[in-house]
Amino acid sequence: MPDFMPHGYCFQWDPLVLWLHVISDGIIVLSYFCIPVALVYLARKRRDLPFNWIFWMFALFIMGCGATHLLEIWTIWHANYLLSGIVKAITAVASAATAILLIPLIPKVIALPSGDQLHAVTYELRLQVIERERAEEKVASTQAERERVQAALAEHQCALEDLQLAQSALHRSQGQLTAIIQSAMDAIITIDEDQRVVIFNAAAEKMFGCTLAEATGKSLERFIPQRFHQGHAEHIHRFAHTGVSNRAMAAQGAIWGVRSNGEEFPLEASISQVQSGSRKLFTVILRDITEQKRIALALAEQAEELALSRRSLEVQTLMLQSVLDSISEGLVAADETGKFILWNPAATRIIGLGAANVPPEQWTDHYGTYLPDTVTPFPPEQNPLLRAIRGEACTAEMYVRNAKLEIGVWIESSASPLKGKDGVARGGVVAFRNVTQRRLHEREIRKLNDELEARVIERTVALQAANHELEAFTYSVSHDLRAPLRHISGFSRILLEDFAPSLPAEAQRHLQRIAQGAARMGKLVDELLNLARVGRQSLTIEPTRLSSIVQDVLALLEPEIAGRNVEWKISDLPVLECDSILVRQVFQNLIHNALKYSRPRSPAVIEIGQTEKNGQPVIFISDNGVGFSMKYADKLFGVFQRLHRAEEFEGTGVGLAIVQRIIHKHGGRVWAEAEIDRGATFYFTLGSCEHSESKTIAAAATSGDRT
Amino acid sequence: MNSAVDILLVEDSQDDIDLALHALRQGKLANSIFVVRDGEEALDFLFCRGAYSERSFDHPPKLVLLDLKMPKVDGLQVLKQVKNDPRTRTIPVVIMTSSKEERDLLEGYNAGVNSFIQKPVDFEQFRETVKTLGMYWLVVNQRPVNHESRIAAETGVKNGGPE
Repeated sequence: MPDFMPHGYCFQWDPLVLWLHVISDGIIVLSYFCIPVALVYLARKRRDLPFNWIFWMFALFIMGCGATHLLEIWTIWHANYLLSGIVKAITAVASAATAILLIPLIPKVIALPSGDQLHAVTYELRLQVIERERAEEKVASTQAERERVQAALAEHQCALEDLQLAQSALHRSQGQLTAIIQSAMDAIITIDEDQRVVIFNAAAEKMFGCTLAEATGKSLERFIPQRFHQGHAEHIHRFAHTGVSNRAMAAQGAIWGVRSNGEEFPLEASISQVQSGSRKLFTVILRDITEQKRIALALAEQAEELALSRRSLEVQTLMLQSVLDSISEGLVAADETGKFILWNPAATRIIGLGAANVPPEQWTDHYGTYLPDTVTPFPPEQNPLLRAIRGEACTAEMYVRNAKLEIGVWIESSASPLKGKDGVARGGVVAFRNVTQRRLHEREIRKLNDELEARVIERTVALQAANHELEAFTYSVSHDLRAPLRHISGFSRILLEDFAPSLPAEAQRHLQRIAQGAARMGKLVDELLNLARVGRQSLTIEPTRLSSIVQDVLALLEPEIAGRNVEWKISDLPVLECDSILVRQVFQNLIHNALKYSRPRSPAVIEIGQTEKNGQPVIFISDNGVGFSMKYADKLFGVFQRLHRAEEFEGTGVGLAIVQRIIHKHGGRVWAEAEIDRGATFYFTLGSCEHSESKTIAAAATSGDRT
Repeated sequence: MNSAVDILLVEDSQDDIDLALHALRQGKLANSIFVVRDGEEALDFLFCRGAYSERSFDHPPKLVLLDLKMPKVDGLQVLKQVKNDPRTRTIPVVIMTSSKEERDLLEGYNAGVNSFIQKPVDFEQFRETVKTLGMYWLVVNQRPVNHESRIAAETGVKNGGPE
């Protein structure tokens, strides 16, 4: 590219020319740049202007002119003429195009109305605009209306669907409702304003004994006792006016219903009302509370009974309390943890201390309890109350000594568990008493007993010594006394026999008497010795058949029986436990006596048999002899006691004494019944020696005899 | 003091001796009666010693009537010694006593007495008794005359017997 000189050189850098150009061009540039802006702004603001595009054309070519002037300034210092030329060319094109386009436009611009015309037109236009705006408003409102209608339509559609849904739901719920109403336990009755029955469910049918068909359309009054009709009607009326949807009727007082059979019964009821179209319906829900009333009544009775029993319990408790307070025995109870729940005044009195809150293992220390030896502390685990709590009944004796009870006491206690209804131990109770006095007495008694024992031993020894002495005495009597008698008897007999011829008759008689006296004394001595022997002899008890003894004795007495007319009546005698030798002696003496005292009789009747007294066998021996007076009966068994003279009936007066001694040794009893000249009967028992076993043996022996 | 003695009467009471002798005499049994007055003397006689040392075991009495209660040595002791010795064992011994104590009876029989008799108080009975037992032991009863005592003596029991 050729190296041009900047345009300033043309001005020879003359500041005046140069700056003249520069400033002028500058201002032109500014102006030429501002005009298009204004034009474009106008064209944009007034898009309604006719031929609006011509403003854009003007703006363009003026902008081009401005650019050429800007390049004029630039080329003063910078020789960029090509750029300047291109800009001028563009400006030229734009100017030319504007000019070309402007020419056909002129006629049109001339045809444009003038200002007034424009005003008129504008006014016209304004009118038209207003008109149009109105029309448009109308159209808009119509549109809104249509939209609203459409929306409403849609809404209706929805509502219709909902309604259908609701309707089917309603059908369902109606079915359910009917089912509920029919199956309700309570009677449900719906009536209209005239109290005519509309709904009458199964429970109602049952309650009133009336079918749905019978009830429907009838007045509710037939289910209400006559006396409540008025009140009921008023009540319904008032309720209708409250507008309250439902309310319980029980609050209004007792309600009574009447069944079709005329029976009245108490009711619990609630009522509700609902407006159904023009109709107003009332629904009552009824519950037969006969049972409840009955229960309530029973409950009331029970409550009364309870109150009664509670009162009596109180009385009893009071009584028990006073008993507990007044008894002399100490009474203490504790629960299962060992906490005292009862401690009567006597308990405090006896052991000096009251109930203390100490654990069971410390009772021994606290109350000072000891074993009966008075020094060994009572083992806590063996405390009777503790044992009772553990479920064990027990008794114990202990010694108590503590600060309040310096002189100790012995107590005797008996403890038992306290059991609940279920039988589980819920603690224990112990009753105790002060036995100190008794213990002292016991000790005294023991001492006396010991003394007595010692004395008995002493006496026994003395008695044994006396017995020995007696034995020695009897022995020497038997020996020494009999010898001189024998001598008297012997020598008097020798005198009588050998010297009879030289003796006077009287001397002989005296000698005879001496001999007889000696003989008699000898017999007495022998009998006495017998008696003494019986007393000394110990019994040899064995089952003894009395019948055989009788047979033996009769054989023994044969010499005495011989030559006598005796009628024997001997029955079976039992087998008894006794000493056979001594009892033989008894039979011998008694039968001998019977024979002796019946000697004047012919026949002599002697009976030997048994009877019974107080369940004991009694043996008897009776005769029809001379008998005796009962006023001497007490002398009968005495030693040397005789009721007859020796000349009448011989004897020593020892035989019955021996009998009595033998019977007494057997623990039995002997007695006699007699009458002068009417005979005598001797009875005896063998006392404690016979028993049921021997009776059995007796029976066996007796029956054995008979077979 | 030799030759045969039928009855040895051992009795301390003179009265009883007289009565016994009287009864025996009446019973024709008093031919050969020897009386000793206590137990010691009785033993001397029977065992041929002391005052009776010249006596021989070959001629024992046919019967000993023995009282129980005697001074020095009583009847039961005499009985025991007699019955314990083979030389005298066969001699019949009859106790005649006033008492009839069970104790004495038992002891007597245990010691081997041949009979035990209580003297009756009544003399008639006494006489009868003495007569009966004399008849029985001296006449009716059979005994091994001297035989056993001799055997016993020969077998060496020498108790002061004279040569």
